[in-house]
Amino acid sequence: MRTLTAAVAVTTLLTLAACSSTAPQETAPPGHGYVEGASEMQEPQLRLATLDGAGTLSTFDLVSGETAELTADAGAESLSTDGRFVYTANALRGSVRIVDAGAWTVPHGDHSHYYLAEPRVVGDVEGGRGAGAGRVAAGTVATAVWFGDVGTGIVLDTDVLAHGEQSELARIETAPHDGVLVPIGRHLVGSVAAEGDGRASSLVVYDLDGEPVAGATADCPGAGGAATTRVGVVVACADGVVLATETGEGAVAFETVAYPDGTPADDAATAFAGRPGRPDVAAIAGERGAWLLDSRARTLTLVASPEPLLRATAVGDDAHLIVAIGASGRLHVLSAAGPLAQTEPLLAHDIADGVLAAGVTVEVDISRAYVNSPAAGVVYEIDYADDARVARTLDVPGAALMVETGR
Amino acid sequence: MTARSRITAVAVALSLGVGVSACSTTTADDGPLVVVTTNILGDVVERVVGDQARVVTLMPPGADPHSFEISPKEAALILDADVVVSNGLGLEEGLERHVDAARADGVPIVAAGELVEPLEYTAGDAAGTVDPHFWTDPQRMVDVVDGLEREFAVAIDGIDADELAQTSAAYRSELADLDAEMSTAFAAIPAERRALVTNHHVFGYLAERFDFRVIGAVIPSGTTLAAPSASDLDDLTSAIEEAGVATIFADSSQPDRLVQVLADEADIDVDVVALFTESLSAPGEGAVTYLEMMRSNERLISTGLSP
Repeated sequence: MRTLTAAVAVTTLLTLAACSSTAPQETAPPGHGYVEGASEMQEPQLRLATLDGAGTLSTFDLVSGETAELTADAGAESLSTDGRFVYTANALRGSVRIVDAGAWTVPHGDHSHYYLAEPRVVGDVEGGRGAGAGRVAAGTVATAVWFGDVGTGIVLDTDVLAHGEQSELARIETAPHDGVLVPIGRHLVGSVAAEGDGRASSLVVYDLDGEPVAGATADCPGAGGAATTRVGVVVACADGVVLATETGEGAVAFETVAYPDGTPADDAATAFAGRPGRPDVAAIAGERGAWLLDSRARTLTLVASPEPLLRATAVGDDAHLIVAIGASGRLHVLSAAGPLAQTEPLLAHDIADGVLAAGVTVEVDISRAYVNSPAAGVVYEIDYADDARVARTLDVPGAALMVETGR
Repeated sequence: MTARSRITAVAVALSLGVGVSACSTTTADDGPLVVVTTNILGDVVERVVGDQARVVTLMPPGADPHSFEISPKEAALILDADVVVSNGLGLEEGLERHVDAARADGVPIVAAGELVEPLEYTAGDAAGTVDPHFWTDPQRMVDVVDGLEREFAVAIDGIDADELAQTSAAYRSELADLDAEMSTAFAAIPAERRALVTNHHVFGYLAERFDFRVIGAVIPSGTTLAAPSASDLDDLTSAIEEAGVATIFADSSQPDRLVQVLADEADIDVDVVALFTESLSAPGEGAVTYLEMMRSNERLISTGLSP
C-alpha cells in the first residue's frame, strides 16, 4: 500500500517537473564546513589567535611556531572565537570585526574533519554610535552580534560568513541591557529587560527573522554569561542556570539547572567557559572554587579548589576535569573528587591587587591547555592529564588576549 | 526492508512515467547519462553499465566524500541524468541538497547504501547511527551490483538487458575473486592478531566480513607530539597492547615522529601504515579502481599483521 502511494506521488512529480530541468539553478553557498580553496587535513590545525595592545590580530601556529598578522583594528580590546572565526570588538567604534582565521574542525558523528584555508578578514559589523563592545555567539546556521549598550542584536548567516561575506538575516531591537543573544539551530535565545532597567529579566526565543516565538520564555534574572555546549545553550541567571535545547520538532525548550541548596547568591556563576563542542562548562564559584555544569546530565557541581579561582575552563572529558587559574597565579587541574595537580605560580606577575589581567585566558583542547602570560610574553602549554606538566613555554609576543582556533 | 520497498516504488514510478522524458535535454546525442557521486561508486557503475551509458563521477580522486562540493555546472548535470547513483546513508552531506533537487525534479536516485544490509556504529558519539562505509566489504559491493543492474534495466531507456546482465556478471565475478583472495589472505593472519588499531571509522564492514576486531584509538597529533609524555600515549598504547599487533593503521601527519615517540616514551615498537579509506587515488598511487584499492589494503593489512 505504501509502495503504491509512493509510486503515484513520484509519477505526478515526474509529469510536473519533466521540463523544468533546464531552469537555471540558484547557487546557494555550500554547507558542512566547505569553503573554496580549503584543504582537508589529517588532524586539527591548532593555532592561537592573539590581540595585542595596539589592536593587531595575529595567529601563532602551535605546531610550526609560525606567526602571521591578520589585521589591525586600533582600539579593539576584546577577542573571542567559535573555533574558526575570530571576533575583535572595538567599543570606541561600536563595531565588531569578523576574521576567518582559516583553520577549523567539523564534527561528523563519530569523527571529525579538519580544514585549513587562507585566513581572511570578512568585515566589520557596525552597531552604531554608542553601541559599545559587541559580543558574538556563533551557531551553524546563524551568528549573532549583541550590542548591549543599545540593545541591538544583529543576526548574520553563518554559511555566508564562511564565504567571506556578510548577509544580515535579522536585526533585533530591545531595551538596552547587559545580556545575551545566542543562536541555537534555526533559532536564537536572547535576554530581555524592562526599559531603563539595564538588567535582564528573562529569556525569549527568536526565529531567524528576528521574530519572537510565542510562548517560549524562561525567567532569568540578571542573565549574564552564556555558552554553547554540545547539548544546547546555557545562560547563567542569578537563581540558576537555564539550559535551552532544540526539540525534535525544531522548537527550543528551556529547563533550569538549580544550584545546590544553600548556595549563597554571591557564589552564582556569571560566565562559563569550556572546550568547544563538549557538554561541560565551568564558572567561578565565588571564593570556593568552580562550578562544573554538565549540560548532558543537567547537574551543577561545586568543584572545590585549594585557593580562590580567577578563571576556570572545563575540559569536558570523561573525568570532567577543570583547568583553572588560582589567586596565587598557579594553574590547577581540578576534579569533582578533589584537586589533581597544580603548577608553580606561573602567572603571578599578571595579577595585580588580586585581579588577573583581563586578557588572560585558559583555552583547552583535547590534549593540552594554553594560558597566556602577557607579563612574561609567553604562552604556557599545559599537559593537564599529566600532573599539570608544562609541556612547552611558547614565545608568543603580543598575546595580551588569546583564543585557540582550529578546534 | 525499507530499501526494498523504495526500489519497487522507483521502478513502478519509472515504468508509469516513461512518456515524460520527451523533453529531457541536450545529452541525447551522447546516449544515456549516469551521474555518480563518489569515485568508488563511479568505478563500480562504469563496470556495471559498460559502454551502454556515459558515466560522470562528481567526486575527484583523493577528495573527502563527506564534504566535497560541486560546481553549478555539475549541479545542472545531475538534473540531466537518466539516473543518479549516490552512496547515501548520510555520507555525501555536501551534495545532499543537489540530490534532493534532482529527486524533486523526477530524476531517479539510487542510493547504493540502501541496497545492502547496513551496520550501525557501536561506539562513540555516533553509536546507534548507520555506518555508510559499506564498500570495505566486497560482498556488500556484490549486493550493490545486483541492485544497480536491476535499477539500470528500468531507469535507462533503451538499455540492452542482455549486455547489462553480461557486464554485471563479469564484474560480479571479479568481486567474488577479490572476496576470495581477501578471505584467504586474512585467514592466514592468526585470529588473535586480526585487529585493526586505527583512528579511522570506515572499517566496520571489513571487520564484520573478515572477522577483525577494530580497536579505535586516539592518534596523538601535532601539539601532543611536540612535547609528549607517556600519558599522552595511554589510549594508543593500551590499544596496541590489547591488540598485540606490530602495525597500526592510522592517518598521521607525522608518522615517523609518532613511531619514534612510541618507542621513546612507551617502549613500543610499531609501524604506522595508512590505508585507503574513502576515496580512490590518482593513477599509480595504489587505488585507481575499487578493486585495486581493496587489494592494496589487503596487502598492507596482511603484511602489517603477519607474524
